[in-house]
Amino acid sequence: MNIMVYFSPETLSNAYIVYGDEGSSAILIDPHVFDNALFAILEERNLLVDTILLTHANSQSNHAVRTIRKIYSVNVFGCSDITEDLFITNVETLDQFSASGFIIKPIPIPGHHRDSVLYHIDSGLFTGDVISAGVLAHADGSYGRAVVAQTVREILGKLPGKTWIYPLNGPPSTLAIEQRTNKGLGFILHD
Amino acid sequence: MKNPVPCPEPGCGKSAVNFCGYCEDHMGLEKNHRTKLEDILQKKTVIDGLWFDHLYFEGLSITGRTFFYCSMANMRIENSTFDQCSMTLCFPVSTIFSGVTFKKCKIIESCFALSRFVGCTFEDCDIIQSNFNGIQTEGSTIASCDLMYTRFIAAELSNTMFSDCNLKGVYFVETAIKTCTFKYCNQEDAVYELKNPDDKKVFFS
Repeated sequence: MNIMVYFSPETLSNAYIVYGDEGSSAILIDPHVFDNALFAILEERNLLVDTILLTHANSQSNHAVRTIRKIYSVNVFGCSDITEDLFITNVETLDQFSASGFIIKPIPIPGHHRDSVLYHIDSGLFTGDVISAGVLAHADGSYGRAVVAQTVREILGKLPGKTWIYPLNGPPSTLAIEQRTNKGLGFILHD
Repeated sequence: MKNPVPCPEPGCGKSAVNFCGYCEDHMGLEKNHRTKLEDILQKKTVIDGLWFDHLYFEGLSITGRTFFYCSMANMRIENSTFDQCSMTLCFPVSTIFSGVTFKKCKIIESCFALSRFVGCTFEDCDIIQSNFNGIQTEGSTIASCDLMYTRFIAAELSNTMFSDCNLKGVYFVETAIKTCTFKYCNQEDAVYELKNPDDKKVFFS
């Protein structure tokens, strides 16, 4: 698995391009903007986006998806059936699915957004805005926060510590690091 | 990074290191590993997707190299210089840097978390949106660097000087600072929730 990150200065968010060693098909994860710079990265490597994974759909990602669909023939996956006027493939009940030559394991996260989902691909975990380096997503109310924290702790317990975390916002991390420095999860190094 | 290959030693579940076939515990079985990586560092300008985990380097002088998507966990790098190098999506996690100088480097979206920096210098570097959570610094200097959106959550900074740096959007959360200097830094949108809140009054002026 090869990964590239594209940081958009417009939305201050990361989009990830995942592609294999052979072939040109690529997965685009959480595009919140589709601009010339991102298009150039794909073109330089002769990559064709045929899969989009959304960890949470919002107006920015929907706008980007509409643009991408004018250029590429893509399947869009998320944790709902429709977002605004866009139909997407709902992965909420799937243990795993296959796209662009990869086995993708969706992990829905209740308590944050209704359609929040993480994607586990090989040794990478694409966490959207649920987990960022040292930071856990904000959720409404103490119940929501507790549900998110508990769900994420359960995920941390099941995956290897060296699983790379690729968040929507902020720098990358690993599960082992989050287990030591993420205060939102109840872990903190000094304690 | 390519997916790691498991070490073939019976009962060993660790990942093999690049070009070795064995993990760091059993890499003595193949002695050419380190030599091969040193050769790559000398000859290639773009180092893509390699695992340097658990290696020890001393006296390196690396100029103009691009490291992309490399794992550098649990390394020990001493008395070395990285000059005009670029690191993107690299993971020097839990690595010990001692007497290392980074000069005019671009460190983008990389993860140095839980690493230890002793007597290190970052000079004229762009360190953008990188993860320095849980690091420990001792006697280090960060001068004329752009640290935009980088995080120092739960870090322990000791005898460390930040001089003429852009700290826009930098997180100092649960950060313990001791005898540090922050001089001529842009602190716009920086987040300070220090472990000891009084430290900000002492060290940020």
